[in-house]
Amino acid sequence: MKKYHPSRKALMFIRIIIFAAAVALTVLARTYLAPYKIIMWTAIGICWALVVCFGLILIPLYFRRTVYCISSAEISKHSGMIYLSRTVMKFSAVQYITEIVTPLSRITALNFIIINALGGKILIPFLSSSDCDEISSLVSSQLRKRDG
Amino acid sequence: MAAIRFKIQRKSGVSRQHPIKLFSYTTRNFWLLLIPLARSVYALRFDLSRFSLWLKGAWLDIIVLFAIFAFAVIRYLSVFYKYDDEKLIIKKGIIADAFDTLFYGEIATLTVYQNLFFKIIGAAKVSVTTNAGTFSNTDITLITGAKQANRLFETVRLRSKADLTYSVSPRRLHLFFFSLIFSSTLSGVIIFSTLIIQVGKIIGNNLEKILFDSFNEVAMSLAVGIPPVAIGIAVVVGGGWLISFVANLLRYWRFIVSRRNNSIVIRSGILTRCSHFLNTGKINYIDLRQNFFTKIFRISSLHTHCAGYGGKGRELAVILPITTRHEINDTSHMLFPSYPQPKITQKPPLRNIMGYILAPLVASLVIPAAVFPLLYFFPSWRTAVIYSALIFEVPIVWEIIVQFMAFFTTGIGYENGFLTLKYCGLYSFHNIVMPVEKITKVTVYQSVFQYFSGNCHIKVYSQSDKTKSHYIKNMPLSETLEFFDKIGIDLYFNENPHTERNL
Repeated sequence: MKKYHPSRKALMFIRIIIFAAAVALTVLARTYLAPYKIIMWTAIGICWALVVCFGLILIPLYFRRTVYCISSAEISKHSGMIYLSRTVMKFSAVQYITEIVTPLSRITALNFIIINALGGKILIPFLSSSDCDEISSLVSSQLRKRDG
Repeated sequence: MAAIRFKIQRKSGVSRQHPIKLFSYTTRNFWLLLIPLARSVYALRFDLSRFSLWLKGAWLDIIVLFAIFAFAVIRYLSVFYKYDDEKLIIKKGIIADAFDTLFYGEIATLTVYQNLFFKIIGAAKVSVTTNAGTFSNTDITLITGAKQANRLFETVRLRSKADLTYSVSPRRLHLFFFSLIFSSTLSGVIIFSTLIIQVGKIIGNNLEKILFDSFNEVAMSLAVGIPPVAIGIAVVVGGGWLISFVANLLRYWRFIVSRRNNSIVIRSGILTRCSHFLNTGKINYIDLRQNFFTKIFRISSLHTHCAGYGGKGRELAVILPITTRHEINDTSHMLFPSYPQPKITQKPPLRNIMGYILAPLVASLVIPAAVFPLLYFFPSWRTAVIYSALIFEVPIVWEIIVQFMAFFTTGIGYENGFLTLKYCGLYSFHNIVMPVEKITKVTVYQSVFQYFSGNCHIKVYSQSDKTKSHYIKNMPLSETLEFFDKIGIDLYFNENPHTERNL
């Protein structure tokens, strides 16, 4: 069984995006909500509270908890932010895989694999480029072996 | 030339669809364009001078109509089909030919459908579904002559070698109660609304206006001490349910199901006659379905999940409409001899009962709590607020009762390669028996509270052309992990007591 984890680069990139979005929203609030001080400060407060909550607690927790295991018999995923989940999909049920590679994914590590089966699918997000290629060829070779 | 080629092809067993299919290849609005054209021609009263003037203005519309029809003819002429003892071949394509070859062994469901209109013109609709749901729905749909359709159906049906045929036909009274229980207001309202909208497109909005005015009059006349809006809602709910009931009764009357080795044949319907052929190897699971009252009276209906059967329109994937539990057990044993009786070995512990009734309980308290501030701020809406609160409160209280019962009947079990799942989805109780090899995915969820209490929710995904899951609430985590590990599904994480499998 081979284990994979989401890439730390993706976590860093998401944190940057969240921070940039929060800064942009703060500037917009200061610009357009300036006459309504209470609403402005409430909006800014909520925005930064969400940044702290997601950027510093929940999303890092998700990255820490998430593990993907691929063996010859099954694919399993253990993850969760607020809800913990454990998912197992038998290889015999897998039909095909979809690989999603975003621009600059070597830097951002925003690579996704969707493993499709009859009646369900597993999403494997935030993979580094090397992990993405490895999982993709692993699953493909298993499918080829299964179909003779 | 096309006629000669067609004749030669007919001799070698190749056929075309019924000519009525031609009209489904035109656009949906084709007929709406024809009506103003016909009106214009009639208004001209065949006066040649006015006709040429009209032609000068309408020539583009006429060309478009001819182009639509011509394209439909080309599409119709480009589709052929042929079948023998082992396969069905369909040829499609105008510029490039595409051949679909379908071996009968791969068919999950084959349905022959003949409504009143098709009966009159001697046509039938043949739908073929397989489990190949990878990139798109693989339904093959042909409109053929009725004799051709029946011949194809018999060819596929007789392919299964069988010495013994088991048939069962439910009693008429049972079919009546089945339609009574499985009718829904929503489907009745959808049927009625579709009819009004489609008729309105042809004859204008007069019918809609007449119906709306009549509806208002009835609501006002019955509104003695009850707000008209409540009467209106009651009329919609009652009327919608009645339409759905009649539609279900007509659909499932003369229901007969037969088992023949590796196939099941189901025929039903009066005005619209449906025949379904199901490959038992492609059946994903069977489901003994009950609601609260049928559970108390120990009656249920037997449903199945097989790609292509049920799910279209308001069709239910029913194998045996409502009957006693004893008859269901006997019949399911004859129709599905390898399937065990549904028995559960893991149940939720007593301490988990709040997980079932807490959410609807909270909702049932929130609604009356919300009434008081609404009455304070909007006193003139008193009657409407109270009646709306009642309308929302009744189904929630009912849900509490149903979930209380669900707690005592929920569980999972395993026997001889079959997984049993018993759970309650909204107001419906399900007893699923599924071969283990039909499981696609299993997911176990834990909320923060469940993490500390050692419980979990389970979702089992079965093979299907769409995503199909079965949700079992509040089971003990350690027993659940052990249970699935025994049937070969390793959900353990760091607590895995077994050695890891290597690639």
